[in-house]
Amino acid sequence: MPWAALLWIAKIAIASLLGGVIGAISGLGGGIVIVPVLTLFMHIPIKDAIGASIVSVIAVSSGAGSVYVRDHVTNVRVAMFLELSTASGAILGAAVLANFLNADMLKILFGVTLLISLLPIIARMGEELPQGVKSDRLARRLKMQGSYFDQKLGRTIHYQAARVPPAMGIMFIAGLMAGILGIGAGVLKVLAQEMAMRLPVKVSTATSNFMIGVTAAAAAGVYLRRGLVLPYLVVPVAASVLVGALWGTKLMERMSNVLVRKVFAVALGVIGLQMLLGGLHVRI
Amino acid sequence: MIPSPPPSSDHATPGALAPAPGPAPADDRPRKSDSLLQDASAWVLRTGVVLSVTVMFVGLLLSFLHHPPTVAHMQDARFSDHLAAIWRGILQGRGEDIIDLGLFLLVLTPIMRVATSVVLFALAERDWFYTLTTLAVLALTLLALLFVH
Repeated sequence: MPWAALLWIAKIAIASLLGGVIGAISGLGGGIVIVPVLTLFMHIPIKDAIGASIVSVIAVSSGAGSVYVRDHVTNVRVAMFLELSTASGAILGAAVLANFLNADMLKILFGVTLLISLLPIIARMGEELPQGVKSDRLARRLKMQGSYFDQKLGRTIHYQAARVPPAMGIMFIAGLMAGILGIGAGVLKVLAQEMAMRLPVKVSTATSNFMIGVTAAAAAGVYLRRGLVLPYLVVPVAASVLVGALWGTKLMERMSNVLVRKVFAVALGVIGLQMLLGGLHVRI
Repeated sequence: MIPSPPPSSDHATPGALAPAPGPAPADDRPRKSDSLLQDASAWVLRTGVVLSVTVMFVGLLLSFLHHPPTVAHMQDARFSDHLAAIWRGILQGRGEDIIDLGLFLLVLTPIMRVATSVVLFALAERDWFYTLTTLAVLALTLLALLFVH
């Protein structure tokens, strides 16, 4: 038996499982955790880690998606309209911009992105049910207002939407990040929907999840055809991140403790700093 | 992003109580076709993930049974760009090509969900603006997968 090969796969699988759990509990998602885990702990070149990550982002988004869809919270109109800009950004990032970045630049960009993504954990943005939102003309014409049944509150919530153009801008950047760094960029997507469009948290989380899958598919298409994906690396990574993410989400339902999230935020902060310093060739 | 239970806010007042600007209230009610659209989407996602992960595992298993890879090979073998070559490999039962098929199916999964949305915007909603928007998204993702080099 090729024990060395099996051991390598097992190690990748365990690291990815942990990455998936931490991604779910911290709320950051799988990709942004798995890339540093693979590069820092498994010594996978960052470009290969990004290729594996973008594919596993699809697995996590689709796996989580079927759960969301059951609750009928996703706003498909918002998702598809914003996706025009996100998918374009992802393809531009993956097909063009990624070519100009070497491993060190990617590590620096990754470290900075990870550190910035931690901000929402420390200071919660968005409101569960935003008050006093008036649909503006564009959002009304685009029929972006909607409603969903809130299980916890036991009633149907009607909501409005606003400021589509700034959301489109943020979404384009989210697409670029997804294409360059192989992440879902869910933090930026939620930012666009909660802060700019002022959608309720549940709607923006579910809608972002749909968009993450489509954006990742656009970027992954480019990565696959460019020969940037290692199939033997992807199998353990994608399967384990998916299982880890579903498991982490279950754990989260039981422990709503904010402290746990903050502990993970600190750990992820250290990892982000390590990526940044690694890219700068600074040793501490 | 991964689902996480948002904090409850009991003090919130329903948005519906605020005077709804513009459109008739009928527009705010959940549409039946929206439900249908989402049920179809859920099925596509679940089937896509289960199928692609299963195919990848079968490929990995066959690959270890027939041509056990070395660690160096696993760190170097890449998704073959020649879709025709992958297809020939699959017919010969080559594990590596079957993993590639699983990868391909996984990337297709969200794209199929977009395709489902196109059909339902067109047939159930007859909303031509969103049919076109969703078709454009579908075209972008397929373009990336099939034509970008």
